[in-house]
Amino acid sequence: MLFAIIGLVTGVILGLYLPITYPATYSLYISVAILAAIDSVFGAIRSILEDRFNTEIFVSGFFGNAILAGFLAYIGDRLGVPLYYAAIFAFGVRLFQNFAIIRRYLLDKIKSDKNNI
Amino acid sequence: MKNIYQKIILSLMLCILSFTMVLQFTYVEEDYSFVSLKNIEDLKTAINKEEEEIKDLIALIEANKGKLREYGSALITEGSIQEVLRSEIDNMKAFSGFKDLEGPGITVKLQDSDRDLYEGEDPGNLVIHDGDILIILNALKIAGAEVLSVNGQRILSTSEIKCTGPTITINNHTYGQPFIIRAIGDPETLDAAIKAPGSYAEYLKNVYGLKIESYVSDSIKIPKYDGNIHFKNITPVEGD
Repeated sequence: MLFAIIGLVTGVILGLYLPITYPATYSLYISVAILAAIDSVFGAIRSILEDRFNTEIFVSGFFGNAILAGFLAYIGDRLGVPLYYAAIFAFGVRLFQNFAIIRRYLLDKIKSDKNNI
Repeated sequence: MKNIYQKIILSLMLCILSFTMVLQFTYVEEDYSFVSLKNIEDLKTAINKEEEEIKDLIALIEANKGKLREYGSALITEGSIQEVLRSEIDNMKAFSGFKDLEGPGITVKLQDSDRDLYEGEDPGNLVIHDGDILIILNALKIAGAEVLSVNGQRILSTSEIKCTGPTITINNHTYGQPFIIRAIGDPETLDAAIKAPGSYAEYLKNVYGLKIESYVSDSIKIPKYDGNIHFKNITPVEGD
């Protein structure tokens, strides 16, 4: 938990202070890639709670999904078909599913803690 | 140990995630809307068009400024804006055919042929047609004729040249042969347009035997258009 917060905070600080810019054209692709990355992170949290966490799967999924989603958005743009919807639906649905499972785990945990007391 | 390694990886990933998110938020905040490549192309062409229009307008402004200066200087030298406007009206009248004009030019006389028909020849070959006159008028225009008349009828931009049997109707006046075309312009060039080998008039003269003569003159008088002009269908565009 501590490591996760440290990572998030350093990322925010770096993002705020590093003078990195990219063409406005790519912002859609990056948005979709961010969605994919968030999905990976939620998947990771879930697998940690399930004690099935695997670093390789997490890292490869994180980058692979992000790149694939961004690439899909780009291809869709080129073809004139908004293909990034596919990424939004797939990752969005999975995101909520993962979140639901995480919620249940946490609620169960709280309940069992209470019972122990 | 393995747990620590996992946690470092996790924090690294989250670091990357929050980094890109912050980047995106701060960047996109200004104006985010979905813009496809095609839209960008369209906008580019629209911008180019607008820029061209702006250029045109600037040129127009320059031209109007020049006109204004002209009026101003004319006011100083000639004393009155009425004079300037009157001279402009005179120019317009001369151009549109409401003023008698005079200048160097040529007179072309076209007459039907006197020769006998060959066996079985079309008698139309010996006659001046409306088309012949049109082509000769155009040749004179190409040679730089500034004003034209046919049988005393000023040729306007709307003047018709119509075949009416053995006669030709110009500006609603019907004439028989001979047809006399007068043109003001550089006399030598105009004359060459009629006499040059290979020209249409020369072809009519030498091949069909029509009588075509041209005379150069230092002073050709061309009368103004004597009719009235009524427009039925046109209305001037506002704000031009």
